[in-house]
Formats: sequence, C-alpha cells, structure tokens
Amino acid sequence: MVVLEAKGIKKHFGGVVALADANLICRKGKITGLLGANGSGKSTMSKIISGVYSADGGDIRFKGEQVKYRNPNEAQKNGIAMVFQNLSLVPDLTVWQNIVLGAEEKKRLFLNNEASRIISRNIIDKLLPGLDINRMIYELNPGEMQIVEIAKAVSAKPELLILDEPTAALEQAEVKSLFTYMRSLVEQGVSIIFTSHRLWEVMEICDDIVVFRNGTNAGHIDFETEEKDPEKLIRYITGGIKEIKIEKDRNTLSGNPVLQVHHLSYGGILKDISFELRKGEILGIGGLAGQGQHELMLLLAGNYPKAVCCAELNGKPINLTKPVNAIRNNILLVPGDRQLEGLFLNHPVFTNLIFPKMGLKKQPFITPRKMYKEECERTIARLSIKTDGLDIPVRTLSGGNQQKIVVGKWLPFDVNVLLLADPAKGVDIGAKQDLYAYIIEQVKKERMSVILYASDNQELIEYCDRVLIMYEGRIVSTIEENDINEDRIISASMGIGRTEGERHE
Amino acid sequence: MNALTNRNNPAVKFYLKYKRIVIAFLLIIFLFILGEVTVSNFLSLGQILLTIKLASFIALFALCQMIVISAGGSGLDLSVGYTATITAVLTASVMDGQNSHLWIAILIALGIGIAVGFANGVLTAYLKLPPLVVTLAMANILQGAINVYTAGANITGKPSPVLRIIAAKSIGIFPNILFLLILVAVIVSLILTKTKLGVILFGTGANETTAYLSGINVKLVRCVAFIISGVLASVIGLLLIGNMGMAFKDMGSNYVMPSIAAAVVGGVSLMGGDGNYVGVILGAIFLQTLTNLLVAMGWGDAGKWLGFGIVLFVLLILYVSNRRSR
Repeated sequence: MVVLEAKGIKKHFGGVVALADANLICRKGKITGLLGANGSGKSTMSKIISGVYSADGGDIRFKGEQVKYRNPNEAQKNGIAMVFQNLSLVPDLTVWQNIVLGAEEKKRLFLNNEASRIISRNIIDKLLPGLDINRMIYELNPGEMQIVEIAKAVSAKPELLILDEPTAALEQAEVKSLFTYMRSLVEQGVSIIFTSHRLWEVMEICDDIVVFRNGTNAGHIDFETEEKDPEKLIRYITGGIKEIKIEKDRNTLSGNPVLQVHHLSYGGILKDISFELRKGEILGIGGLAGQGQHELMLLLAGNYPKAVCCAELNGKPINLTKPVNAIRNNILLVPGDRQLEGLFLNHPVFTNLIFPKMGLKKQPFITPRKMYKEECERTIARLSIKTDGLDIPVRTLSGGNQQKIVVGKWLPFDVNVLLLADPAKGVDIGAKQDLYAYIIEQVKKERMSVILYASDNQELIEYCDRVLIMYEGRIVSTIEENDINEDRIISASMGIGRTEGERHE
Repeated sequence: MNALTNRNNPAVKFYLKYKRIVIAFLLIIFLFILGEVTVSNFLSLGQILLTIKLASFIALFALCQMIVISAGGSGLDLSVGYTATITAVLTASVMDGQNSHLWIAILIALGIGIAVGFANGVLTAYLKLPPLVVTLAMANILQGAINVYTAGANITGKPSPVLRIIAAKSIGIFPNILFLLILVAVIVSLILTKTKLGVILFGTGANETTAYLSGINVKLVRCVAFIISGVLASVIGLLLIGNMGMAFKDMGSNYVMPSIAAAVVGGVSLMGGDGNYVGVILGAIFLQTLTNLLVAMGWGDAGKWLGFGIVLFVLLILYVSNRRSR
C-alpha cells in the first residue's frame, strides 16, 4: 500500500535547479532508500516532503490526500517526521526534556515530568539502552546526540519517518541497534525514508532504493524482486558515463616532493593523514562532502594551532601552527567560503587585494599606494576581474569576480603550494574557466604545486594528476592519473572503493 | 535627477563614500538653525568655537572608542573616563603646579594607560570575555580605587602650566585645544588611511576569519587596540586636569556615554571594520550642540541625557535598517 507519493517535484534555488522532475513512492511498513551524489537533490526532496521547503511544482499525496505543508510542524501533526543532519537539540536540557520538547505531558496546568520521562525511556531503551535520559545534551557525543534526535522524531509517533543520513555520526554498534529499531518500527506499520552515502547500509536495511541524479530519478531497485547489486547502484548514481579522456599535456610525476605530510591528525576530524605533493603537480582531494576535506585545507594553511602535524617543505620541517607561518613559506590558501573566510565584503577591492601583505615583516609602515595600485591593476588584468575600479566594495562584485579577488590576493606571492578549497563553488562557468586557465598556466610555466579540493568530481577528473579520496577524516584511496574517472572516484568515496581498488591492483 | 543618480558624478561619489559624515554635518547645521530660531544668539562664531571647545574632550574620548570598536569583536571601552580620572587624581600632587615634574606625570599616565589597556585587552581578546562586561568591571575597579584614594586624603596639587596652556587657554578667540584636536585628527587620519596599521585594524574588525587566514594575529590586534585606548584615555586625563585646573573624583566619568554616542553619530560601525575620525569629531560637536540647545531651552542635565539617548536610538535604527536593506 502506497503511503506517500511525490510526483513531478520541481524546486530551484535562485538560478540553481535542485529538483527538475523527481518522483518518490513510499509503501506502508517499508524502508525506502534514497541515494545520489552530492547535490543530486535527495536532501531537497526530503525537506519538501517534511515541509521545510515548498516545491515549485508537482504534487505530493500522503495517505491518498494531496498535501502541501507550510512548515515542519504541520507535517509532524499529520504524521511526517524528519530527522535532520544538522542537529536541532537544546544543549542545556536533558535527554528526556529534549525528546518531549514542545509536546510535554501535562497534568492539568502543570507538567507531568514523570510521564514524559517514561515515554522517553521507552524509546531510548530500544535505540541505545545504555544512555541515561537524565544526562545533559552537551555531555553527549555526536552519535548519542543523533540517537536523541531520532528518539525525538519517533516520540511524535509518525507514520512516515524521514532519516537524512542518520548514520554519519554513529559508531558501528550504534548503527546496528538503530537498524534493529528501524525494523521494529516498520513492523508496527511505520514507513521510513532512509538516506545514506554508505552503500552497504542502504543495501542491508532498505526494501527498495530510489536513485537521484541531477534532480531527477536515475533508477529504482526493488530488493524484493531484484538482487542487491552495488555495481548497478553506482552506475545509477554516476550515470555510467564513459569519461572523456582529457589530454593533460604536462610532464608530471617527474618532480621532486615539495610538501610532505606525515601522520597528520586533528581532533576527531582528520585521522592519520600522510601524503606527498610533487613539484608541478595538481593533487586532487575528493570524496563525499564533509569528510574533512575543508579541515585538511585549513589545517595546511595553519588554521588549527592544536593539530598534530609533521610536515616538510622542500625537505625542511615546517611548523603549520599559525597562518602566518604558512604564508611566510608561501603555502597559500583559497578558502572554501569566500565571503566568510576570504574577503572583507564592505571594503574596497584595493584593500582586499593588498591585505595579505600586511602580516609580512618586510611590509613598509607607510603603504606604497602607487606601487600597490599598479600591482592590483596587473592582477585584475591577469585574472580578467570585472570591476569598476579599485575603490568599490567587493560585495558589489559577482560571485565569480569575488572568487577571483580571493585568488588574486596571492598573485604577488612566490607560490610554493596553492591550496584551493572548492574554488568553483557558486562561481559562473566563465569565471571558473578563467581561474583554472590561470592555475594550469602557472603549473605549466612556473611549476607551481596545487592541492585542489573539488566537490564536483568533473573538476578532479579534468585537472588533477592524482586524486586522494577522503572518507571520515582518512585518506582511503589514492587514484593515479590513468585511473581517474567518475566510477573510481564515486566507488572510493562511498567506502566500498577500498576493497574494490585492492582487487583491481 | 539623472545627475544625482549617476555614480560617476563627483558630488554623488563623495556623498556615497562619506555618507555618514555628511549626515552628521547636516545634523549640526540643522541644530544651529533650530537653536537660532528658538533661542536668540545661538548662531555666532563665539558660540560655535565654545561648542567645539567643549566637544573636544568628547571627541578625544571618542577616539578611544573608535579604535576599540573598529577592531571588531563587539569592542567597546567603558573604562576610558575612569582611567582619565585616576590619572588626573594621581598626577595632581606630583605636578603641583610646576612644569618640572610634568615628565613624571606623563610617565605615570603612560603606566596607568598601558596597565588598564593591557588588562582589558588580555581579558577580552585572549580570554574571550565580553568587552562590555570587562570594561564595565574595570570602570568600577578604577572608581573604587579613586574613592579609596580620595577618602584618605584631599586631592591636592594643580596641573603644570603647560597643560593649562594646551587645554584651557586660547590664542585670540581660538581655544588651543582646537589646534590639538586638529593635529590629532590629521595624525589619526594619516595613520588609518596611509599605513598598514589602518588596513590591519579595519580588516580585523571587518572579518576576523579572513584577517586571521591572511596571516594577522587577530588577538594581538584587539589587545593592542585596548592598550592604545587605555594610553589615550590616560593622556586625556592629563589634559582634563589641565582644562579644569584641579582634579576631582568624577571628572572623567561623564564622558563615557557621550564618547560612544559620538562614535556612533560619526558613523563608526558597531560591527567593526569601518570608521572615520573626522566623522567622529563631527559626532562629538553634534552632541555638544544638542546639549547646548537643550540647556538653553531650559531642559538642563536631564534633557541632555534624554537627548543623547534618543539620538543614539534613532541613528542605530537608521544604520541597522540601512544594513538590512543591502
């Protein structure tokens, strides 16, 4: 029996199409897996069903009736609950207070805390028996928080439960007990939509799987009738495109190591990372979103003083505990969030471009304005930045030109290692080409070394000489030049690449 | 119409760049005209010069605020008036009306300023305590110290004649403090626009993450901003005793709120990263003119504070809505 049917759903954000024409069907008492690469629209779909976003087109039928929720509360009252990736718990309340928050048990005018505790304990006992419901949320680890989040959603007794990557923060054992609980919910007639990037999880728990690609349905596998075939799933996710081999007309791999990193760790985010970057090489960093790639780039730029990092630049040990150390060694970062990390939006183009010089000791006290102006003009010409002079605020520039300013800041430096954190994100195609054209030329002519993290695999395929795949803070796979293709990157990204990779090699 | 909307028109360009200064200037003119209409003899050269003289201390204290606010991190220095007072109180007997001991007074002033500023800076920048609370506590500690000191013995001594000349005397009709203020304004403006200090200060205030990733020691910059504020406040204390001819225990505290108000009226963004000292001076003159007007209309001290409060509210609302509309 069909509980939910979403048909022809369309949604765009600004000029970006998140869902072009997507369909999803959930049956009563079944677990439907929702799969897709980053940006394929699966999160958007979940959020439309649960009332976070409203669709631009298409219709949703829940229990046979056409519905259009204006907010998640309305959806919850109707029996659709969603567990979000970013946690929405109140840190200073206890576990049970969070679970019943907004739906507390009452005895006439007063709260009935005893009843609330019993309800919470019943759910938690099934999900994670060891967890004390009187503990404060801020005392919990991320996995326990995720469990409480799920308990909170379940306490509303939904008929349809949407779990958006619930296992990302969980340990293996917690995943097992979550799966057991999901099965018991399903036996009670609850339907579940489950998204995860880990293929084996999806194959273990789901009754059927819907794959999204570029905002539309790319495939559907019903495990009741079809066999569990990971290769087929990957083909659906990537589209099975035979990649066009791009001639990388560069004499790579011959260079000496420029940067060597040994056993780098940071908190629980980066774990035991070692690699080397050769001269004149573009080293790609790939993987699913949020596996520590941004943190790795920030760490190499000296942003985390407490990180454990043993690194050598051209054979000499360097200390990456402060950004200024990295800059003095000409390890230069183009950060992932240009507005928050790379620019002074209200300040003029001129100050933005000259700012990195200010931290250098050799910078003269009085700013040599004329000299810097000429330098800025050269940068603007070199990167074809479209701006109405040097004195207008950077915020008035387009996204692509803003990104060029962030790169342009480093042009006067004698780059040893350029760290690019997703430089083409939110950048129009023209600016993207200008940026990469500049980088490729610097690599070719000046033998500049680049570490490029790109969320778009196509960029890794097109520009990189080697690609490291990160998963949960580790480098799980290294793809050499001749092997770089969409299938290899995707399968390595999803955590099944390791075994597969070993089989190939 | 076309000329007014054209961004390349020099007048329009000037207005867009110095919008808040222009607004502050127009407000002052408006107040003088209002004063001339409602109270006779309000608009005269003598009156204007007197206003500027009285405003100059607000403007000097507002420089402390501007530097701390510009460095970002919701910076604010509520201890400036008390730092000035304690310096004045402690140096009065040292100077004892003689020039010969002025250098000791200056050393004491520097010592107090650095100590207070360093404490404020370390507590806010390195220990990440809110500047509002830290500097308020500092203000209370200093006031307590002043009270203890003045309770034990009467404050004796007079400022050195040099300080009297700078802060209280005039050349013809022009008060000397006006020349000092102009000199300070020129130096500050040059430092903020032509040297790397200005670029670093405003950059740190505008976006600390960007500044940090560009190799700037953000905590140090903010700590130094507080030290500069402390030293300036302490030196202003010397000028204050020079102006008044003696030291007393509440001499600086009344300047704290007006100094913040002047910075806001003068267009210093409370978010940090933006500010112009000429605007701040105009802000101080505006507030002084407002005080004069309210006093002339018979509203007295209550009216002055009421006026300050209302002006602050109105301008903050205007600036915030301006930022939202972007």
